[in-house]
Amino acid sequence: MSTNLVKLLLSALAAMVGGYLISWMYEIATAPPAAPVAATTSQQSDVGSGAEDVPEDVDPVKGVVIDEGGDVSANDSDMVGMDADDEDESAWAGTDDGTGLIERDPDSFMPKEAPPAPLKEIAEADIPVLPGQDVMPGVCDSKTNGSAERNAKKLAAAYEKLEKKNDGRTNYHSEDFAPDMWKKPDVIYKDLLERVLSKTKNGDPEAVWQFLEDPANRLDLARITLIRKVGYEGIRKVTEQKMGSALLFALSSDLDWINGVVFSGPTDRLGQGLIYLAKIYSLYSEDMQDPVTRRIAATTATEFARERYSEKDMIARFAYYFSSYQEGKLNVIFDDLQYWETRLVTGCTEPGGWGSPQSLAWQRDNVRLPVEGYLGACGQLVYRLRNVAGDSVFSSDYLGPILKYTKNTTAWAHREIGGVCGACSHYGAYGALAAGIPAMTMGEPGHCAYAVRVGTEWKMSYSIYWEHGMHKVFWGLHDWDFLILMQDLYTDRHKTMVSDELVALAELLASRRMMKSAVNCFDAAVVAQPLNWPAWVSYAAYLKQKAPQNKAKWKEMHDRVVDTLAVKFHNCAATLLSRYVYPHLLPLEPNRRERNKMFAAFFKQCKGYGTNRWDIAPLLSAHMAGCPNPEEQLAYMKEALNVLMDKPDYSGAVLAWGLDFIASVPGSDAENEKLQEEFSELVVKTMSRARTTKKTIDATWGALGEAIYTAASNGDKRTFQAIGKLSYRKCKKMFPKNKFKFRAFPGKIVSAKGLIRTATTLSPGQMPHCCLHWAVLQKTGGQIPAKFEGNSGMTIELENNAQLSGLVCLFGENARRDRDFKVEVSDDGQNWSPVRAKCEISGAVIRCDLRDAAPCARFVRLLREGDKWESSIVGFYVYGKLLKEKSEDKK
Amino acid sequence: MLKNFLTMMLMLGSALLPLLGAAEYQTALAKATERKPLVLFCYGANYDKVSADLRERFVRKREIMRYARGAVFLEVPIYQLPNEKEQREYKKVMGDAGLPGGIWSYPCLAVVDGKGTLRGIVQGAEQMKDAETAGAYLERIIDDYVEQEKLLKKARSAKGKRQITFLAEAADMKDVRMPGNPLGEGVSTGLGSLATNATGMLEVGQKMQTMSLEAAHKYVRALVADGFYSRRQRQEIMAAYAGHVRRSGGSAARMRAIYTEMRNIDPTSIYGAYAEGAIERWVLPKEKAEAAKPASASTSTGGGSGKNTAMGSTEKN
Repeated sequence: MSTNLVKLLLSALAAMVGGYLISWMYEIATAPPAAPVAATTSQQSDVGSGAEDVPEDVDPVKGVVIDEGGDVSANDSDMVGMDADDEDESAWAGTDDGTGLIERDPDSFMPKEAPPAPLKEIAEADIPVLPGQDVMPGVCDSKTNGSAERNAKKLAAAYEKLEKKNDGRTNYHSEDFAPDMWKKPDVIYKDLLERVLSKTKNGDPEAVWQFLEDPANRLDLARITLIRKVGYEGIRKVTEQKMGSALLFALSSDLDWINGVVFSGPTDRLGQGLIYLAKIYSLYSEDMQDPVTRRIAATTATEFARERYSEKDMIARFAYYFSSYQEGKLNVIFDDLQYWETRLVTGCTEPGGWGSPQSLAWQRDNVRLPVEGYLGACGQLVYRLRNVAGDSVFSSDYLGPILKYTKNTTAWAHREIGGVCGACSHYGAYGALAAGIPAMTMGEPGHCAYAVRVGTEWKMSYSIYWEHGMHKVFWGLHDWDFLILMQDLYTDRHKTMVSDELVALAELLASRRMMKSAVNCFDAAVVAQPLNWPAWVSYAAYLKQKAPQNKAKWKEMHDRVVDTLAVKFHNCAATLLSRYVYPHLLPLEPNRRERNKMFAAFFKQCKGYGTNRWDIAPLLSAHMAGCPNPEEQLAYMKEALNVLMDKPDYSGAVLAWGLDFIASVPGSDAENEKLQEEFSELVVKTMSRARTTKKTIDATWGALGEAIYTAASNGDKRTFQAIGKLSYRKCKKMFPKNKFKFRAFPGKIVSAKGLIRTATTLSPGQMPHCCLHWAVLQKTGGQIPAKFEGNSGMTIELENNAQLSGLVCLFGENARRDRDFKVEVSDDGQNWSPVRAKCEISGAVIRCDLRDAAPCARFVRLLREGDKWESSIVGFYVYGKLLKEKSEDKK
Repeated sequence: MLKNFLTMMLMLGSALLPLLGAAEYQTALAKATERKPLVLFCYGANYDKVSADLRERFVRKREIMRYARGAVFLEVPIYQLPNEKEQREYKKVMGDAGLPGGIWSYPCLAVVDGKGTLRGIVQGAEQMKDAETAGAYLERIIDDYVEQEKLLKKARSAKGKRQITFLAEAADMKDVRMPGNPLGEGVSTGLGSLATNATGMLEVGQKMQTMSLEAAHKYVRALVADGFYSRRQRQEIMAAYAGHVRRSGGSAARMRAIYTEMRNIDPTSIYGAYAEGAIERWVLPKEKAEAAKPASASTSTGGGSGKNTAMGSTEKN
C-alpha cells in the first residue's frame, strides 16, 4: 500500500475520532474488513531483548537491566491484540470493540499483589578494573551528604532557570549524529562513552557535577542511556523502520524530547516503543516539529509498548489525542502536562473499550467538565445491577439491545442503561482522560472506584474502602502511596532529573567496572532526590550484587530511607525496606536490641497512616522473618505490640497481624503449639493493659474491632471470644442493652461461646464496630451487617458439636417475606448439608425449627434464596444440646 | 398606538437585558414565567476552548437570541480551580445558589423554571455544534415547556382521572422534564410509581419473577390499562414483561408482539430503540430457530400459541 493511501486512511481516522462523525465511523467499522491501517506484523518484534548480538566488551544492554516492573525478554506473541484473528479486523482500528460493555466481577478490580520482583544484576563489560575503582566506598559522612545535597539543589535550580528562559523547555539541540550513523550504534556508543568518561574523569564526584551543568553533556548522557536501554540490535531494528533513522536523529538531537523518552518513567520494552514511535513519525513527520505533538507521540508509543498493546490500537490512540489537541477539544490542562503525566493520559488502559477512541470521543464531546467536575461524573450513570428488563449487568444482555442505537460506544451505552461500580467509575475516570486530564480507575475489595488529579493533588471518587489498587502504575506497585509518591517525585522534577541522570551515570560506570564511582553516583542520586523509587531499587540491586555482606552500607541505606522517604511515604518506605533492605541487613545484625531499634526508628516517623491507610503486615513479617528462633519471634512480637499499641492508627492493624501470624504458625508440634498460646496470651495481655479513658475509648474500640474481625476471618474462635469479652469489659458503654422477646427453642444456647461471620465486605465506617458482631451472639444483642445471596449468608461456629433444636435470628428491621430462608449445617465449615427446617418470618424475627431433623453439627449457616439482600442482624441464637465428647478442642 | 409602542419598548428592553451583562441568578429567576423560562448559557470560562468559541458565536454575536423566544437569558461562567477573582465573578452571577441538577456537560443551554428546576437542556457536541442546531433544540424545549406548563395548570384545576390524564400527557413531553412537585408541595400526582429495589431493578419486574407467563400477562395488562403511567413508564413495564417472557422461554411470536408494542409506544425514545434492538437480538434468531423445527415441536416452547398480541391477547397459557 502506498504511503499516501496509508496517510489518507489515518487522516480519515483522525477526523473520525476527533470530530462529530461517530455515525460515519460506525458504518465504516461495520463494513467488510479493509486494508490494514497499521504497519506490517514484521515490525512487531521486541527489540529490547536483542542483547545477545552485541559485542561482549561494550554490551550496552547488560548494564541497565534493573527495572522492577518490566519483563524485557517477553516475546512478541504476548502482544495484546496481535494474534492471527485480529489481523482480519483492521477495519475496527480505533473503534470500540465492546470490551467495556460487560461489567467485570467487582472482585476482579483489585489488582493482584505481585510478588517482589527480583533485583536484576548489572552486567559488567569484560575489561580491566582501573586502579582504585574496585573498592566499595564507606558510609558517607554528613559533610559528603551535605555537599551532594547542595550540589543537587544548585543544579536543579540551574535546570529550572534554563527552562524558564525557554518557555518551559531546555530548547537545547545538537545534531551530532546524522541519520545514517544510527545504523552503526556501536560506533556512536563508543564515541559517547569516551566523551562521558573523559568529561566525568571516570566518575570523579566533582567532575560529575560539572559535567551535568552543560546541556551538551546531558544530551550525550541521554543518548548513551537510550542505546543502553534499547541495545545495539534494538537500535538497528529501529533504523530498519521507515524513517527510523530520521527519528533517531531527531530524537537524539533534542534534549527535551529524548529526556521525555528516557527519563519520564519506566522504560520497559523501550525498543518496541521506538518502533512504535517511528511508525507515528513516518505518518506524521510534518507535525513532529511541534513539542506537544512530540510529547503525545512519545508517550503513546512508549506506554503502548510497555503495556503490550497492539500497534493498531497505538496509532488509533495517538490519532485521537493528536486530533483532539489540534482541534482544541481538550481541557487546557493537557497543553502543559509533562511527559510523565501525559503517559497516564495517552497511555490509559483498555484500548478496546472505555479507552477506545470512539468511546473517548463520545465522552470528550458529551461530558465536558472542569477538572473537579469529573469527581462527580460517575453520578451521571444510574446504578443498576439489573436493567429494567431484569437482565444482570454481568451479562451481555444488559446492554445488548441498545448497542446499535449507541453505535457500540461503551460510555454512551452505559449512560443510557446504567451500570454498577465498574461502569460508574470508568465513566468518571475516562471522562477526565478523554479531556486530557490525568485520572485512573482503582480496585477496592469487591468494588471499583477512581481517582482524578485536581491541580497537583490526586482525589478519590466513589471510594468505599481504604485499600486501593491503582490500575495505571509505573513501578508495578498499586498502592495509593505509590501514586502520591510518583506525583511528588515528578512535581519536584528538576531535582528528579538530576537524580535520574546520576542513576544513569552510576549504571554506566557500574557496567565499566568502576564500583567506587558508581556507588558515589548512586549515593548522590538518592541524596539528590530521596523520593526517587527507581534510584533506590537500582542502588539496592547494585549493593546486593557487589556488597551483600556489607552491613554498614545496608544500614546506611536503611537509615536514609527512614530519615527521608519514610517521613511522608510510610508505605513506600516500608515496602522498600521489607523487600530489598531487611532481607540483607537483618541477617547481618545478630543483636536483637539493634534490630528492635531499627523497627522503632521506622515507626517513629509514622505519626498517622501517611497519605493513606496501608497494610503494615509485610513490614512486620519481614522483621519477623529476621528472627532466628521462636524466642526471638516472641520478643519481637512484644516489641511490636509495645510500640504500636500506643499509636491509635496502627494498634488495630498490629493486633490483626499478630492474630494472622498466630493462625499461620503450624500447630502440629508441641513447640509451635506453645508459641501460639504464648502469642495469644501476649496479645490479650497487651490489650488488657491498654488504658481506656474517655479520650481513648474510640481508638481502643476501633483496635479491638479490627482484631476481632481478623480473628473471625481466621476462624480463631478462642481469640474471637477473648477479644469480645475484653471489649465488653473495656468499652461497656458501646454495647446496646436490648431485652429481646421471642419464643426460644428447647435446650441451651450453644452459639454464645462461638464465632459469627458475615459474608459482606465491611466499609471503613463499619470496621471499628466489629465487637458488636460478638455481641450478636450474646443476650444483650449487638449488630452485624449481613448479606444474603446464593451461598452467602450468616455462618456460626458453635461452642462445640451440638445436636440442634432450632435457631432464632433477629433483624434490625422487618425481614422481607418474598424469599424463604434455609439452614445448612456442617462438621468442618467446608462441606455443607441442607437441613429440613421450618422457618417462620414474623416481623424482624426469623425462627427456624430444626427439631424434626435434629442435626448434629459444629457449624450452622442461614441462607436465603434469590437476589442479594443486605440487612442488619442484631441477635443470633442457636439452640440445642452440646455433644462434648466430639469436641475437637479436647483432642 | 401608545399601547403598541409601549409593548415594543418592553420587548426591546427584555431582548437587550441579557446583553447588558449577566443578570443575577435570583433576579432572573424572579422574571421567569410560565411562558418565558430562564435560559442559562453555562460555559467553561477558563479551561475550555470549545466553550470560548461557542460563547463568541452564540452570545457575543447574539446568534442564539434569535431562538430564545424572548426568554430571560443569563450567562453562567464555570471556572476550573477558580482563583479569588474568578470565585467573585461566579458569585456575582449565581450568588450562593447552586446550578440545577442534570447538567452533564459544558457548554450548554439549560432551561430553568422560576423555582430553579431544570426543565430542559441543550448539551453535548451534537446538539451544541452551532447556533442554528442549538437554537432549534432550544426552541423546541421552550415550546414544550410552555405547553407543559399549560397542561400542568389544567391538571391543577382538574380532579380524578382527568387530572391524571393531564399529568401523564405533561410527563410524556419528550424534550422537557416534569417539575418535582407539579401539583404543589406534598400533593400526590396519582401517577403510578415504578419503584426500584436496592439493585436498581424495577419492582414490577421483580414481582413477575415468580409469576407464570399467564399471571405476568394479566398483571402487566392491568397495570398498563389503568392509564396511570406515562409512555416511558409503560415502555419500562413492557421491557420487564418481555424480559420475563424471554427468560421463561416464551415463544418468538409472543416476544415479537411485546417488543413491537413496546417500540410503538414511542419509537423515538431510548426504550423504542431498545425494543427494536431486542427484536434483532432475540426475536429474529428465535424465529429462525422455530421455523427450522418441525411444526409439532414448535408448540412446546412454553410460549403458548393462539393470538400473538402482547397485550389484550387471549393467548393460551
